[in-house]
Amino acid sequence: MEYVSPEGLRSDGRRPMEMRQIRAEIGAVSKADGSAIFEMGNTKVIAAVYGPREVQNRSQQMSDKALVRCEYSMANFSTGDRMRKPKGDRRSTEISLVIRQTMEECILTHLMPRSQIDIYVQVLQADGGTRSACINAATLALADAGIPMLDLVTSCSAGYLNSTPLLDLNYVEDSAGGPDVTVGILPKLDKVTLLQMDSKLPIDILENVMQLATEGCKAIANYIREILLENTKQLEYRRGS
Amino acid sequence: MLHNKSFVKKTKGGKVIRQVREHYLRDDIYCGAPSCTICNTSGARLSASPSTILVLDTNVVLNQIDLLENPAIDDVVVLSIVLDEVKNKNLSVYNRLRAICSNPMRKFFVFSNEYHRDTYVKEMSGETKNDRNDRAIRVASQWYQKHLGDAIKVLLVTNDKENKRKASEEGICAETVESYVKSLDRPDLLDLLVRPSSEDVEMEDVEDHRPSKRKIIYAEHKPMSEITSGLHRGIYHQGKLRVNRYNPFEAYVGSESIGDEIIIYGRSNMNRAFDGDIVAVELLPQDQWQGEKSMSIASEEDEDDDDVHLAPNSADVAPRTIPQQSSTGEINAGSGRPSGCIVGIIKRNWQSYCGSLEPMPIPGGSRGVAYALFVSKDRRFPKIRIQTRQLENLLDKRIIVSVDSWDRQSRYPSGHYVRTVGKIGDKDTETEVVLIENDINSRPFSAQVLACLPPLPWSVSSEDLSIPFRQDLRHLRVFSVDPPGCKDIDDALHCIALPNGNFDVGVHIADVTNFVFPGTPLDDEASQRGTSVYLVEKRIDMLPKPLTEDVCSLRSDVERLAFSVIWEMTPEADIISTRYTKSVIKSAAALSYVEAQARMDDSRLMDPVTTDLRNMNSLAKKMRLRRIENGALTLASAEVKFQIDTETHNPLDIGIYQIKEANQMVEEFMLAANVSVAQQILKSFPLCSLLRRHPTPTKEMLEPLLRVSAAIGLNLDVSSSKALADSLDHAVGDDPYFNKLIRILTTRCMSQAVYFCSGDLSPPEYHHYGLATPLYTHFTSPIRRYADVIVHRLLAASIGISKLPSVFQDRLQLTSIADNLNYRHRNAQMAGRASVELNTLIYFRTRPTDTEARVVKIRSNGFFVFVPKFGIEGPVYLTTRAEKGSGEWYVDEQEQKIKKMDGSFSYSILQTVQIHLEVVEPQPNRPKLQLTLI
Amino acid sequence: MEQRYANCWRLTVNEKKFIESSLLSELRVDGRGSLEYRKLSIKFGKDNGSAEVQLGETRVMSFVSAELVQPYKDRPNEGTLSIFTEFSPMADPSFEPGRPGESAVELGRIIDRGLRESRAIDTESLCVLSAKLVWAIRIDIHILDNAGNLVDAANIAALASLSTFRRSECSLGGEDGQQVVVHPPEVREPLPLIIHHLPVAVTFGFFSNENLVVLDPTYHEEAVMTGSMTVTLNANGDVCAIQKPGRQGIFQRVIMHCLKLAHVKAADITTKIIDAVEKHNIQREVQKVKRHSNCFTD
Repeated sequence: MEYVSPEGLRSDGRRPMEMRQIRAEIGAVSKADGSAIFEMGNTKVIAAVYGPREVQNRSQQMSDKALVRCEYSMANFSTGDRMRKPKGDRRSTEISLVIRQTMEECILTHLMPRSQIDIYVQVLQADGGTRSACINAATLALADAGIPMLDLVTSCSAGYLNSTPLLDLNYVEDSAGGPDVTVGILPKLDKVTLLQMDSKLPIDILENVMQLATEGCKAIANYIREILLENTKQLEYRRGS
Repeated sequence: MLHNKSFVKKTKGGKVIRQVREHYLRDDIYCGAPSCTICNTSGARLSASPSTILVLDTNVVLNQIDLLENPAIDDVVVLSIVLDEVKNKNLSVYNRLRAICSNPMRKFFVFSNEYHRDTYVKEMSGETKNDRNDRAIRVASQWYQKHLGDAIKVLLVTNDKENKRKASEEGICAETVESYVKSLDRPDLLDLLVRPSSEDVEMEDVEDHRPSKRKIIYAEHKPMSEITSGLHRGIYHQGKLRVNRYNPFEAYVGSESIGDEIIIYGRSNMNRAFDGDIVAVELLPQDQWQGEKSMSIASEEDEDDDDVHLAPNSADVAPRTIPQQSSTGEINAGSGRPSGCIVGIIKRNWQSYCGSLEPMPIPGGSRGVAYALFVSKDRRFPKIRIQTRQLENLLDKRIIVSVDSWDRQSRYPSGHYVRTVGKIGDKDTETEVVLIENDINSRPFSAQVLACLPPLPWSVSSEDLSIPFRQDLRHLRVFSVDPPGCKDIDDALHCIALPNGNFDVGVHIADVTNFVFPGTPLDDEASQRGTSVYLVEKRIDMLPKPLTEDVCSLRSDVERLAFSVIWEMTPEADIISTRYTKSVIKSAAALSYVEAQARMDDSRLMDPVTTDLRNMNSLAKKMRLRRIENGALTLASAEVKFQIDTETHNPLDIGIYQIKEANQMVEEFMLAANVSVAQQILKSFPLCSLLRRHPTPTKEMLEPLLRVSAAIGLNLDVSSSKALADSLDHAVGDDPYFNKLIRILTTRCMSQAVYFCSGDLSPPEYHHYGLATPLYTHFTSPIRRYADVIVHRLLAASIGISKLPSVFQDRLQLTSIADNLNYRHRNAQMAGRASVELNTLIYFRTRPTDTEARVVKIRSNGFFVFVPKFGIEGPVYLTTRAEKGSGEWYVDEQEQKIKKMDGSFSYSILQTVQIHLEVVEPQPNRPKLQLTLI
Repeated sequence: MEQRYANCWRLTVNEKKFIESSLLSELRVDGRGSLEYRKLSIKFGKDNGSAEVQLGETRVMSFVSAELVQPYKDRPNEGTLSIFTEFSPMADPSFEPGRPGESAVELGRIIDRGLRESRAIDTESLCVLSAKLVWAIRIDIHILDNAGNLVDAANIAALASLSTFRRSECSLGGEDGQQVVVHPPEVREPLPLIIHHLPVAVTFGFFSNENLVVLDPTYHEEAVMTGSMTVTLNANGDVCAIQKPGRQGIFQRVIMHCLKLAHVKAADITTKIIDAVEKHNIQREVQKVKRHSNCFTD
């Protein structure tokens, strides 16, 4: 199978280093303290944040910092074949854990002791890169909820097919079984918090692919900043000042 | 700009799924014309100022790829939609087109019209996919015309009338291929033009997996009920299919109802049957029986694949050829041998096959499922289609594949990958391949087999000695003579001068049946394996190692159990008395042939063992002489020996195995013991003895030899083995090697000796032709041959020391054991030869060599030579494949010569030629030895 | 997910400070250098395909079993490989009985990804009859004692047990050649799995002080550290999986440095596994032949 043609085009018409179209929208769930929708091409996720609020299960309360919880799920209609997926399967349990620990890194939890922050992310439409899209959506939702953060966290994936590093794999490319590297960074600090990879790749090529994914994260960070700025302007405008 | 394509797709599970794919349209796809002022011209491929630019439609590419490969056609824009369509229809044309596009000398430019903002077209409702794609081609042509302006003519080349008409309506220049080529005024190009007889594209070589598009290739198998009734009524004939090892398009079914072999030509007559399947055959009408002529065509397509092999040492391993009736003048038009076609398969004999995948490009992602064609190393089996997700792991490997099914619509059977043997060309891998190919069980012995062994370390116990029938012969000066480094010593000898001037001569054979009891897993395993297999540097044992190398092996200075044959012989080597007994011996020396020879030759040595050796040798010489007088044949074969590097395990030197007097001496006593035992067991058990016979060669088998000898003016009398032996002795030419060569040619005309159950044949058929003895069996190597184990049991029963096991009451079972032994024996031999061939290849890989060779067979386009120095044989071509049949050379059957048409040059049989030996790799990973004339 | 907090045994502030400050002066509580591995020992059970790994005080057991099942529709020619983890409360008070918790799932996923996505096991060779019968290989990992770095220990145990596992040989017979015959192990020597390469997991711990990196963190260090990264790679230097599930952010150059360290370590551990397996195999062969009890030779 040819994933990159000799003319340098991918199966959906992108070039190897190009990301899909991204789109974000803040405030999708009115009940939530903060929420956002994030789209990367045909991948669409929604995130909602509740908190900081009282800890539900007292035994889990921590006196020095806030408790962060996260739940990842995929809507039944998110993929082509509409199959009832059991909740809490091994994959989503792991992704929930990964997203929670990634978001925890940027939240200033020590400012909110004895409280709890809940992050819910749901995949509405899956076309590759759902994990990254969820993290990006969660960042926006946390910002929308006004939760104090150290930095933004943004995430993007990259792969390696036909001996070419490819940014932001879609579903077809993802299921080719090639290496898939998902990176999550704190853009201002230029630090990597999330890094996941599978399949098989020599170390030096991995470095290139990782670099490409990091570039993608930075581009997303710029976009998210714009969106947040725009959103703040809107709020300001609505407040009428 | 973003577009979503959505379409419905059926999954493997049968579900229908709607899929949505993104489709990005871009503005950075350039036109590829260097003169263009709007586009980025860095990737431009077209001429600086072309007068005409061609845009091709899909069918033009599919049909006229030969034309496109001609450099006269240039300045072509290949649209991505055309590439996609070509790829879906014919992958080989696609690859050729891609090759042209990437050739920097050609001015072919790929324009990704499907991703260009202005040339992407959306499917209209009610429009078929083809119409949409044609429209896309027209839109792209139009865009080009507009984009490049009027200075350059954009010409759409299409043979589709409808498309051409629409193009003209839309103001696009369009022409058919024919008229375009005519306009070029290049008559030579017109020859390249393919004029399609119909509108359809031929797709013979592409296997299309889509069920709707597959066509039926093979005839249906008849239902079982019809086959049974057909067999009853005699319209169908049942038999086992045997495919010709050297021409997979030819097979035979031995049919009892006809009493002859039915020949099956071609894959479609074979109708999906595999070698070894039990099939039902229907005879073709007699006028379709194929004579010799069509046969040679059938075999011709594979003729060039002949590899260099070891020189055959019997008719059984030589390529099979159908006796050529026509060449000897008995032309009888229309009455070839009965030919048939297969109508049904009664029992499948599908196994696992060993080989490698046909080279193919590796797909992008490793999860991508690839369909690959598996080519068995044994040419009797067809290619097998397999599906794999790890193509990159398998391409350079020898793999095992097994067959799952073969339906009528697919040219090849489908199967699945079983396991990897190793890397192609690697010595260990190829050795294992040899074992697998010859159905040799090299698995470790199972736990239940090992449980049958006596506890180790084993030694002769007082119970062994107290058994009344076991004679204590530890006082005798027994010794063994074997090849150097031999660990499985199964025979030892003694020879004592008696006061009366006679000799007491004993042959002591390892008492394997003392450890291997009938009906135990150990016995079953040994019976299945049948024989030990000796490869260059590797031995696959019939019995577990502790038995083979220790407990049974008659090593020096340890007490061992034996089964002894003891004769009293006169100094003239006449046997006065023979007795058989189980015994305990203690070997005084384990000599190698070379050591034994050196001792005998060294006149200073007078020690007892040397004296015994000399006595035995003189007896042996007399016995041998007597045998030859009786008509035993001295045949010759070229056995090759390697000297192996201890570090790399690669062969360092290669040469012909030298036979010494000591070898012949041991051989003589073993023959005598075998003959004595054969007489003894047959006397006691006339119906259930296991004997070995060597059939007298038929006239047809000796035909090639006689033809050669006639051509060189040698008169061979083949009326009896005695006559043949005599005329071979008289065949001496000026050339010292001549006699040996004739003997080698004689040897390969003989079939091999076989085991049989005495109840199955009548006594005259027991005859052993080669040894010229009426009775023969195998008794002397029970560690490495199962036949000897059986004979040991028979002998023990015949002298009344044990009961005959129940197997011997069942003649059918005994026959099947004999058949298995013959099969295993033959396989072991084939494996041994293959192993030598493999090592020969490794040896010559780094050492191209010039050497002398002899012509042994004339072919229409060259001849076969035998290389005495290395014992190999292979084809030398006088014409290349392309020139074949150009008529430059012709064959003179009578004189066995191949002559040049103008008579300036000829090669005749047995002529000495100088050749060059070299390993070449015509295909990656498929090295072979090539012989060329110097 | 709550159990992480439920029964959590916590280090005192003093203990944490002690560990951290000694690390700053390049000292570890158990006396190791910061990039040193604990002592590794691999033992094999009597049955084929069971292994017990001890890494320092951490003890993990792994069992491999196989059964014949129908393959997945979309993979008719492939056997399957699945990994199950069992965290017994005996090994660590924070483990709760019942359904596998979050950390058990994560551990299973890391090993699963490393083994399966990198195609370490030739699953296509586990096909017996296309679309009808394939071998399903199951690895059960039991944590016996948690003294830190379970991932590495469990991964080594999985590899060791896979390397010594033997499955019964199957052949096809019957009239149509489609009947499956399973040969009992005593009749035909069972077959090993085809293992293309050994993906070894190597775990690093990170601390809030950016300059601190430790290899093979202990239980106590795990309580102090603010992030971890597990790199799974084989002796050839192919990275098969990386798991850095959020938490402490680190610079990319630190990651690259860790990858190189991990490569060296992985080659080292690979040799240890292969040696242990080899020794075990020889022992098995020797045991198959009966010997007189009075003359014991090893």
